[in-house]
Amino acid sequence: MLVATACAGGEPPTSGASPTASAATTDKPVAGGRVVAGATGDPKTMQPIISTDTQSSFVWQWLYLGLTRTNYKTGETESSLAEKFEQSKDGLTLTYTLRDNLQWSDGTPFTGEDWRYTVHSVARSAKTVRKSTFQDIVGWADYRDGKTNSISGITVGSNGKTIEIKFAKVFCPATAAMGGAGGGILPSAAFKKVYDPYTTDTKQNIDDNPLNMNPPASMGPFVFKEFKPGIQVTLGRNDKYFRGAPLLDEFVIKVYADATAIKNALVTGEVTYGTVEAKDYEEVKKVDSLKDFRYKTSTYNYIGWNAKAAKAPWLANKQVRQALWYGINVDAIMQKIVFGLGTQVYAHTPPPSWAYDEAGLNKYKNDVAKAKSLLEQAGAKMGSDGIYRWTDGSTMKMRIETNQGNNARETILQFAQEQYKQIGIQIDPLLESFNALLDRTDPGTDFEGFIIGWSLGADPDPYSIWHSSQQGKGQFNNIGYNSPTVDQALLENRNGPDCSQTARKAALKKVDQALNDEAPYTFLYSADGLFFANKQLQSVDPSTYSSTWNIEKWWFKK
Amino acid sequence: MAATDATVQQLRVPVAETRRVSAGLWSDAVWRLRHDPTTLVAMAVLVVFVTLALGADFLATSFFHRAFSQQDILSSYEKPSLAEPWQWLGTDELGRSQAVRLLYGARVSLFVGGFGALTALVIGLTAGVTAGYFRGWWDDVVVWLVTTLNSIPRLYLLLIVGILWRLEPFPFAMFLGLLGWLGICNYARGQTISLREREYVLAARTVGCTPLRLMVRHIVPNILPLIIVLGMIEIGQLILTESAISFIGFGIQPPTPSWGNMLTNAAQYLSKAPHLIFPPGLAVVVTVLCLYLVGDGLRDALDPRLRGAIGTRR
Amino acid sequence: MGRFIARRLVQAIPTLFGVLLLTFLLSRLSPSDPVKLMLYGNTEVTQEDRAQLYHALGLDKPLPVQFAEWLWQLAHLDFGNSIYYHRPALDLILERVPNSLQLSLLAFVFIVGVGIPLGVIAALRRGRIEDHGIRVFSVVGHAVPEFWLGLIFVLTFAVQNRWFPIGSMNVVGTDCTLCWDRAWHLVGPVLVLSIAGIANLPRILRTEVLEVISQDYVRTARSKGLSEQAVVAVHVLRNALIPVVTSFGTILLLFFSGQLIIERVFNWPGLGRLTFEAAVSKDYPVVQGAIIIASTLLILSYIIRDIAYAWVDPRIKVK
Repeated sequence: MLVATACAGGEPPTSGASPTASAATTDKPVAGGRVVAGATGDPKTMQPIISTDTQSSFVWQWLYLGLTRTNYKTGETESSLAEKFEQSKDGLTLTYTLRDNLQWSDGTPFTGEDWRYTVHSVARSAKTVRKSTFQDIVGWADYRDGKTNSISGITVGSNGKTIEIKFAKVFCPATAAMGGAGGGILPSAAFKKVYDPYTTDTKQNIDDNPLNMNPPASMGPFVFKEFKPGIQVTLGRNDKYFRGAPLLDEFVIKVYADATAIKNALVTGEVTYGTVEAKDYEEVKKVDSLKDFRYKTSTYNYIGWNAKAAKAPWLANKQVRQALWYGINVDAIMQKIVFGLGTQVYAHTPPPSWAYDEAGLNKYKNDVAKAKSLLEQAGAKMGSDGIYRWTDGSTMKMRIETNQGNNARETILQFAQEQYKQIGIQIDPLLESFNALLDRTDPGTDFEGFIIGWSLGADPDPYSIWHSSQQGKGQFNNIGYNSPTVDQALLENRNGPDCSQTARKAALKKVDQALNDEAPYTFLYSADGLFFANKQLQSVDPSTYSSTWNIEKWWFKK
Repeated sequence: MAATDATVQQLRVPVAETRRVSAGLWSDAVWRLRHDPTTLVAMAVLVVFVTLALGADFLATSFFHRAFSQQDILSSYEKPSLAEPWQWLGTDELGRSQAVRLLYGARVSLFVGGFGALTALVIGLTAGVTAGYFRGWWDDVVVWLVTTLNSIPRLYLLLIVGILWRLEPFPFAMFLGLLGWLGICNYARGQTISLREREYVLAARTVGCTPLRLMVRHIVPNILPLIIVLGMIEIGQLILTESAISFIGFGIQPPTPSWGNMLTNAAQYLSKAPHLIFPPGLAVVVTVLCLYLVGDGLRDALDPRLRGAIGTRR
Repeated sequence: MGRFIARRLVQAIPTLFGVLLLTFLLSRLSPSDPVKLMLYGNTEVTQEDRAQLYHALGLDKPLPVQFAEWLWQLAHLDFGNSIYYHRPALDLILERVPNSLQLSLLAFVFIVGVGIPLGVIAALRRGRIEDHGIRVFSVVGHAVPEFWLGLIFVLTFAVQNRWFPIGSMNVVGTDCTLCWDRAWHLVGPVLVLSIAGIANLPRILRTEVLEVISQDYVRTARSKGLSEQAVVAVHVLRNALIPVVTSFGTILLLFFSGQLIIERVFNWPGLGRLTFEAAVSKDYPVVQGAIIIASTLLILSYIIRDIAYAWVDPRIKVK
């Protein structure tokens, strides 16, 4: 008796059955159950084309899929609705072949026409941010501007089983970018009743129609059931899902006031799975009913500096921007704000990417003296109040803004204010809602610094962020970054003609090196994904590019 | 928020008792106060708080040796310790001294409450007395304004203002005052209406006193004592309002500390630094409590018949 | 009584007008550009669209004309579209009102149910331990920030001990209004929302009861040999209730503000939370509509309060 206890010490009390036998019996997946996920707001829309916020994409991602998807771990493009995809040798033609017998949840067959419909709707939408993806397709601009009633470069053949796309120039990320069709593919049969894009009338678009809030059919693992504003979105099992009907009966997206409320719900078991903020990681890790996962993410946070800022002309000066990078102690941020749960970055390409390479990049180790001397080299003169004066005599004072509700960013903002005071630059911090921040920092001259992050796709194509042509209203190069070398390298990476990984990696290296040297952003860090799931939930395997890629296999152990 | 109609209803009692303010009233009041230990203690606490808030700069430089914005991020989330004065209440997420921030928070919160209440008092007294004295269209306008403002939930109004303007402590306090004068105005108006018919006022009028002189010399002194009590209570209410509006993110913006935004911040970091939550919370509760107690005590001292009658909240 | 109600309704018109005028002026006096407010988050808006909207909003007309046009729109129940949800603001608001009313009405009943007995006890046991206890509770109840109490409730009773849910109206999967599940979810928000009211009522009631008790007719009733309970119930309470009904005005005003906080803390999908979320995303039409609807509800509550007052105090009818 005594011996037995001693031997069992440290082991959880188990029944007499042998572990292998019990595992075999209980590990047989059982159907049924409901997963509850938390969101911090209602979805704005359930239609991918006009969706710009995470609350929205968190709903439609279960309904509308792409032709291809990103491998959850490696980031490679893999088959999804399309069985195979081929790029011609010259890189100018891309052909997708769909799987057999694909069906929408309402029984309508899924065909290439659904994809074609979606791309046409993107072209005419006034609210989408996805147009640049398709701009290299032959006939795109003519259709967009209403000169033709369809895009000539797109052909759907073999009774809708193949899609052939012709490009005006080589487009390296084409397979992944085209497959997604700007988010997910819409059920054209149902949507055509409310909006028909095959016309030259550019006034009409898909932006406002009742189906945007009431998805008619699904290709994904779940179907839309019900939306109760302020409470939840309920999704049911899609028995026609091509990877097999999910074991779960229901998927509920419940709305909470903020990240702290979701964390509480995770701890009490109300929410089945979700990610937490770095500051809460240790606390949630102690909760017995949860298991934790941690992985690198394809994201990074940064402080952006608007080179066109009317009130801060010094931001156009490279030495000043470098001083701003030397002037902030990113090590301390990593240690005390990120709690070591992330990777410091020095340029654009995020750590999990195959193109990531930090060799040769300046690490900008915190150095107040160096920052000050850089400012002085740039022509700034110290004022009597300890704040520098710029060459035109104005006080070096500027605003940095960030979004409310993101704790790490709010803290970094206050930290930056104190840090920059040390190097003689005065900061006026401003907190606002995420929407307001996006609106305030739209390309223009009336903002200076801002703290925000990028969440990037697996295929590294930073064209829309850094190319000098991308500075229009609603576009992503809002800081007015303009470098001919980088423009050139971006095009090499995007349009080849050599689309091999080695060639693209070399092009991206040029981009990263230039960005690291010119410091248009103060690059901060890429936060780890801190994912928790209820211990009863089985088969969960989250990673960098997807935490729910195999959701049809999730099941509850009783 | 403002002491509203119910409060005023309660105050109908003293009308019959009102007399000209004399040395007797004040000395009676002082005598009564001296025999009211609760009020005296509450007053003492308030005096200490106000002194600390006023001396924040001095204390920060010569005793704590820390500025309220001074960060030391490598020593963040530290528990309270007796090693150095600035560590007495621990440090926050940026390694700032919680003790020093509490001091400055006191300054901001007390200023917002105090200045807001003062604004409310001035507007309420002026509007109430003139409306009650002149009656006619002016009275109608004032009554209409009071009813209107009383019909808009205050936090909703503050939200809309929060969207349209970005408020610093000074305009913020002023704005709170602009919303908080209703109860005071109602009381002042009611009292004036009954006072202007009293013999000594009528007498003064026949002698040829100007309306201004009449109001300033004969009416205001009579109603001022209880107005001051209402003002004390208003301060407490405004401090609570500030903390509530800070909680929903539309109050005083960090890094300027106020008890309200410190409390909100502490709630965010509860798992990392539970010690941050108590000092600002206690500061709010104790201050507001003392203000109410002093208000109660003063009222009792000024007019014992009113015991328990005022002090409705928001 | 009918005439009294009619008169009271007519009196509400200038008040409502005032609310509308104030709301209108706030948006026009602010430094924020109304066109920009209307277009928040819209990425592809051309200068032409802006000019068009400027004109459509009538911003090129004189202020009084703008106001009149706006009133005309409101009269047609057109509160504008939510910038965030692309749906009529009024729809969004009205679907939340019942949830808020449920919370408020219950809290109100709770305040009356607990506050009145406490007030009577405080008066009858004047100067004894019960009286002092109630006084301490009253004063402290006034001084504690509501959101603070709410957060503490959630942390202690929902996160650490799983006695109550952390928020919202129903457990996921249940959807009912009159059931135990809803009652279980209501405990926290109702309790916290009521604290200030419960702290308020006994103080008023105590004074009144004390005053009434000392009146002649109560002494007469007592000398007739009626039991103490009967005296309290019949004579004292009825008379003491008058000022209590008046104080409902304060309680109501307090509710509408408190809701905003409580609904956020307890994740209650009511008008307050909608307004707060709309304010955060600068969804101006929704915030503006919510203020108008909340004020209208408040004005209506005042009217009901006054009717109750007239009913409790017959003297009003005579006037």
